[in-house]
Amino acid sequence: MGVGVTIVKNKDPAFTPPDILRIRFGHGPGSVQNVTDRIIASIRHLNPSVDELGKLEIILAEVINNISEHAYQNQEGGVIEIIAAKRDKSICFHFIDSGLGLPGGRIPKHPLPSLNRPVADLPEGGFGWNLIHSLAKNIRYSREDGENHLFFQFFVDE
Amino acid sequence: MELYQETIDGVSLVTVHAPRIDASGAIQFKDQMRKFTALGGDRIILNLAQVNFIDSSGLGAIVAAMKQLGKGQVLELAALSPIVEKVFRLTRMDTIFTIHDNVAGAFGPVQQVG
Repeated sequence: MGVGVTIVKNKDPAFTPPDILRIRFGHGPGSVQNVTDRIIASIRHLNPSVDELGKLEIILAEVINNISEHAYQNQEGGVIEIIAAKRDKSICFHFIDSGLGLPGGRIPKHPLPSLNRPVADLPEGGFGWNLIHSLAKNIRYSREDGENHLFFQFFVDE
Repeated sequence: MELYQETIDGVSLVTVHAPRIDASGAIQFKDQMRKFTALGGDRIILNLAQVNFIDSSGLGAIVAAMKQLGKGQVLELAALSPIVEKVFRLTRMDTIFTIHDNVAGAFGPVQQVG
C-alpha cells in the first residue's frame, strides 16, 4: 500500500498550525523505512543534524514496529496514521491505529533488564520502549473509541 | 539479507551485506548466524560496516546469535555505524560485547602476515 502525504490544518489544539504532514499507510514489510524516509524528508528544513535524524529514525521504527507487532498482531495492512507538527524547536508526533490497546491501558515503563547475568539469560527483547523513552519526550497514550493515540515530542535542537 | 562467512587465520569473519538489521530481517539473520556458528571457530567477528540502521528486533537477533554460540566460542562486533552504536549504548548492550572500531582492529596483529 502506498504512502499518502497531505498538508492539513489539524483541529486538535495540541497541533497548532502549520502542521508538517499527515501520513496514512497500511503497515507491512518495508513500510517502516518508507514512512521514516518521508518524515525525515519533511523536516529537512529544520536543519536537523545527522545525529538527530538517527535518533528520530530509531523512535519512529520502534513505534511503528510496536503497532505492527502488538496492536495489529503482525497482520499486514492495518492502517497507521501519523500526524507530525512543528512546535518551536520540536516536532510533536501523534500516532493513531485501530489495533489492540496497550496492556493495562498504559505505556510500559519497565527499566532496562539487568545485563549482569549469564549470557544464556540475556534479554532478546524489551528494548523498544526503553529506546523510545530515552529519545522522545512527553510521551502520552490514550485509548478512545477503539483507537490508540500515542503522542510524543522530539526536540531537534537540544 | 545476505551474510558472508570467511575464515581468516582461524577466525570466523561474518559480514552483513545489508543496510539494516530490523524486524523484517531479524529471524533470517538469526538463522544464518546459527549455521555460521555451527561451522566452528572459537572467535566469530560480526562485521557491521554496511549496516547503517538497527532496531530493537535486530539488536535482539544479535543477542540471540550470542546465546546460540557453542562452548568456548565468542562473538565480537566490528565497524558499528553511529546509529547502530547509539542503539547498543542506549540499551547498554555495548557492555556485553567486545566492539572493535573496524575489522582490521578486530584482527589486530594477527592480520600482519609476512
